[in-house]
Amino acid sequence: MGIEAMELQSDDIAHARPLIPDYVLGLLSADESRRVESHAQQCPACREAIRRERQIEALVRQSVQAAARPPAGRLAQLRPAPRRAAPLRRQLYRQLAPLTALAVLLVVVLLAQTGGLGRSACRSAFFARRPIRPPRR
Amino acid sequence: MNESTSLVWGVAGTGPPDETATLIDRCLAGEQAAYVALYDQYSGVIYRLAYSLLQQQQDAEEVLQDSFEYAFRRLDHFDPRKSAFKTWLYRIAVSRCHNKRRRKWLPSLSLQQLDDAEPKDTTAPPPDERAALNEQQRAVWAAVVELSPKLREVAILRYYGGLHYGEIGEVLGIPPKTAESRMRLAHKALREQLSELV
Ligand SMILES: [Zn+2]
Repeated sequence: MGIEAMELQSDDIAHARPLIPDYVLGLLSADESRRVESHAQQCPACREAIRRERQIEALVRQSVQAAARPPAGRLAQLRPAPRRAAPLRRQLYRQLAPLTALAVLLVVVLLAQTGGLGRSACRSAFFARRPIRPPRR
Repeated sequence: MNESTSLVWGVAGTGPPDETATLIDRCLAGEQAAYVALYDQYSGVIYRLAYSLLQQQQDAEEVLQDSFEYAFRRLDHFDPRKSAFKTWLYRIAVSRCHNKRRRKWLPSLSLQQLDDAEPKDTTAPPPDERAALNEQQRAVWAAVVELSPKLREVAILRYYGGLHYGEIGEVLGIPPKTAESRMRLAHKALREQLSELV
């Protein structure tokens, strides 16, 4: 490989060499990529250069796969506990929350206007403040 | 010859997008087994991503747990029209990795803590795992760890995660062009380090 690499450096420009790193990194325009590809079809040296550049990606992927491997069985131990509340129920609750707030506000305004200590006003204030049972739409 | 053929969704061992979408729907319907399946599908990838960025098993495990707890809690906020699930999850995990790294260097730490926080033995995985690596993998891993954190994260997201530059930008909160130029630098540095291997 070493000797081949040195030979490749001799006439870079005539070949597609300067474009090859960007080519394998997916940084060329479609046009430029096609130019590199059609040149490489005719040129073993550039094909080899492309292969080598691509190999870097493969090596990194394999080394991460192996070197960053979690200890056996560890991932299962770290699995989060099952979720209790279904997100859908929370979503529904969130949607109804403004209505509850509105009801509370309404009762407070009513209380203020009526001088507010009548028995029925107290009762409705009590019920309206319970967020568990928002008024039905 | 298209480079993107080598960077498909399967690169980092995650399932096809459709399968993931079905799982997410089942999670949102409250199915416990679907959470388990979603975790099992992505936990290996997220762990490796975190470990590659932090090189500490305990840190990587904490990032893994925090990320999934957050992701599951916020699953109803995930919008498949805005990003792939993988990208969304990577962003959650990477931001936790950043927080971990930042916290390690906070000046408010005691000297003892600072000592502990010094990167130890960053060029090698833990002893039990080192044995499982062949010489080539060890050399490549050393080159990956040698990269600056900014280059390393881009290289990992691209080569291991199989993300496109727009997605990398999204995960890291940087413009796609910045992701591209960092990737050029990372690739160049890796090529120099690995010249004897390729
Ligand atoms: Zn050529």
